[in-house]
Amino acid sequence: MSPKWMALTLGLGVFALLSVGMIEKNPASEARGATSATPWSFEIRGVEASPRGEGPPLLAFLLGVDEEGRPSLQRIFSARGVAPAFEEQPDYGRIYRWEILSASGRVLAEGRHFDLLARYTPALEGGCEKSLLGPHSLLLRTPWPQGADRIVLAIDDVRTDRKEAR
Amino acid sequence: MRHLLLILAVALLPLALPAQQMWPTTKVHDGGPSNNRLDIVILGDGYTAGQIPLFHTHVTNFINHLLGVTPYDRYPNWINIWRVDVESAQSGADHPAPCYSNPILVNTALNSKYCTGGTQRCVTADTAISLATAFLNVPEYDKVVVLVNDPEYGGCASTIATSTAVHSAANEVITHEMGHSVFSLADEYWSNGTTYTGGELAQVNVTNQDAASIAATQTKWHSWLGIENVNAFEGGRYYQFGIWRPRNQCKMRSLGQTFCPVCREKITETLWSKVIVPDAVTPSPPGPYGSGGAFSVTLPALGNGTLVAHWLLDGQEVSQGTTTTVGNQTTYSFVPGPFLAGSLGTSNLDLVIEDDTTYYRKASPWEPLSTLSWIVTDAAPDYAVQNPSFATVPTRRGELFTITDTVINGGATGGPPIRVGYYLSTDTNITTSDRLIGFRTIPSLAPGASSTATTPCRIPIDGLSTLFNYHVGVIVDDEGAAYEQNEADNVAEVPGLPALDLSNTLSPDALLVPYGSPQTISFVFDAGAAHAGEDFYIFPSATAPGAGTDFGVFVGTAPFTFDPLSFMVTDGTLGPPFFNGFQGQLDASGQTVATLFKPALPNPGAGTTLWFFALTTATNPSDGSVSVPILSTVPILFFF
Repeated sequence: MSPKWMALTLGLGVFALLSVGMIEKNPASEARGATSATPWSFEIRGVEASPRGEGPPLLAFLLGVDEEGRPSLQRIFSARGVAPAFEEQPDYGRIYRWEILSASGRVLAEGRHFDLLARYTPALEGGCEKSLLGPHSLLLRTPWPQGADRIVLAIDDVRTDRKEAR
Repeated sequence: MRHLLLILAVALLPLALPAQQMWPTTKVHDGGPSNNRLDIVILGDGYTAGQIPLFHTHVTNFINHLLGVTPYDRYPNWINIWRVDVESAQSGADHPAPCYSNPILVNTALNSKYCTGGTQRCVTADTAISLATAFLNVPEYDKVVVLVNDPEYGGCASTIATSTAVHSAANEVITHEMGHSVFSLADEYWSNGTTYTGGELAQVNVTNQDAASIAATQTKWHSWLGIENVNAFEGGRYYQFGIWRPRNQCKMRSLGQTFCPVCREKITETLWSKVIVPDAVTPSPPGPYGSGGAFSVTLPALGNGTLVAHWLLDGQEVSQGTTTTVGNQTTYSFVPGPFLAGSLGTSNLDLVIEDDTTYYRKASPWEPLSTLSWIVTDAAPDYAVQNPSFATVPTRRGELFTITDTVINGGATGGPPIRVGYYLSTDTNITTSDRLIGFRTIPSLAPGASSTATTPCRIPIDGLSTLFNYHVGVIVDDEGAAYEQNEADNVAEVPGLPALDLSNTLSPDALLVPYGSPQTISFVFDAGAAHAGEDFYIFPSATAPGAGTDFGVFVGTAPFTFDPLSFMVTDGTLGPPFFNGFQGQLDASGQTVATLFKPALPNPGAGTTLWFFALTTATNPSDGSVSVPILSTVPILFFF
């Protein structure tokens, strides 16, 4: 390879890295609000890219949820793929409603995510014990619209069969 | 130096990615496209690098077990299973206090531990790490299963399911837990002496009604009562009294049992819900389309039993068509043509797909998509190519030449504008999978009308091999714009192509680019086929007065603009898809300004991302490019 094309290739590589670097590394979590009526807003920064998957760009938000049900953003990933359809399970859980906003506040995409809060511990003889989760994690996936700047979450519904869980 | 450090720091950013979360990943059970299947990801924890083969064995054992369980055995291709070879520093899982008086803590990738929540047998992997690992390796996963390399019995399921893979009951445990986490089934066992007094339950396999009430209210599993030993058995979902289950035994009650019919139906329904569309429908409904072509639908192939295709013409079943299974897919096809011949008009063609399973007692597990409808007509065009010949005969790599051909519409009506494609093939079977080397477009042709033209084409510069004898062919309507009475007369070989000279000496007319003030190079991209990753190394070259100048293009994998004068790469303004015309101008001093601009050309295919790099420098023959005189302006065809 000639020096010219080596330089060209290197330039391309540097640009590819620059394009990643254009995504700011800000503190990942900036949870606001403490009630289900108040949405939580997280800036989309520090996206970690995976080379895997096929299809359109996909964002994944890894959230931690504390005892009070308050989410905190732990990491943001990107890959290619199709976001799964919303699936609500008839079990104890929480539904997040989310919106992806542009920097100007325009809603670019929206959707819902069901978070199962029940835990099953299988018994050797069959069946299992059911209990409720405390702090836990979930991964929310969504298409990555152009111009996405932040994600806003709200707890849309909390199922109330807690007393039936054991 | 500060800038250099900044660049180096930025350059190292991707290296800060959690490399330990990217692992060798294998689709160990391939049911079909992930966006139309249930995708289960199996992660291993507590497997050292040397134990990865053991993990493979555990995964294989689990898959063989799962796909032998009814109803998975009927619908194996409704599921994909992925294996992610996560390596751990140490074997096993944590056995911590307070469950263990002599705690054992080990270093594993997913931090699996027994004693979660104080329950010894509740072994769990770290959910956050597991979810991140699943996404980064298989972004389209639906459910995550973690197999733990520890012999002690244990498991736990919530967002993810975790189980020992070593214990003899592991495969049954995971299958049961998937009943919860994937199919929302309730446990069907109980604790003695407990009574449920609440309202109706959400899960399909438990109810607060006895058999008489189920029958009277026509709820829950009323359609199963009296079939396959289904009744209403008191006891389930942790209560001995006040809750009923469908059958005495079920895998949701005891390991080693089959799923009861109600659970089996729920699994069947859920698996079908993952096949949200057919894998392929040809042609796209509704038409109208000519009756001479095949109508087909492709679905995942059943493991046993059949899907029945009913083809109806104006409501009357006329055929069950033909069924072809290749690998994990079955295609149901029908050609309505012959019985419509001679009776010009239109009809409605419907395809009803029926899953004749006894596992499902509702209307259809695939009800939303079970019927596809087209309008078919004999009043269709019928394009045919006639007498293709070389007006000028190519002899070598990169050479421009011309083909003369006639397209005639022998059908009953005119059709939409179509494209005539010219292809270079390695055999005499000319198809649109061959390499497009030129095309022309034809406006709508009236019945009986024809179009004759001489079209410039170019033998490609790259990707040719002396191992092949090449052929050139013509395909009328190669983009499939018209559905015709007869699709079999659209292809013809152009006879008389000599053996091509594939030496590295480029044809004198191969690298012509426009020159002047200003002129445009027109790049036309193949919209039909994506060849992501294929090398692209055509370097149009020109010699400008006063200075030799290469005029080059380079395909990378990211959008950007490039200022050739300053060698600055700046932010790309292109959004996907990245297909661009490329505009260039050489001025009298040999300087070049290159600009990439927004695409006006069609997307060549899902998943294809093309970034372009424009470059001008002084001619440097050592890089393999060739300087040639500028003779004229010609279109250049690029293929991806």
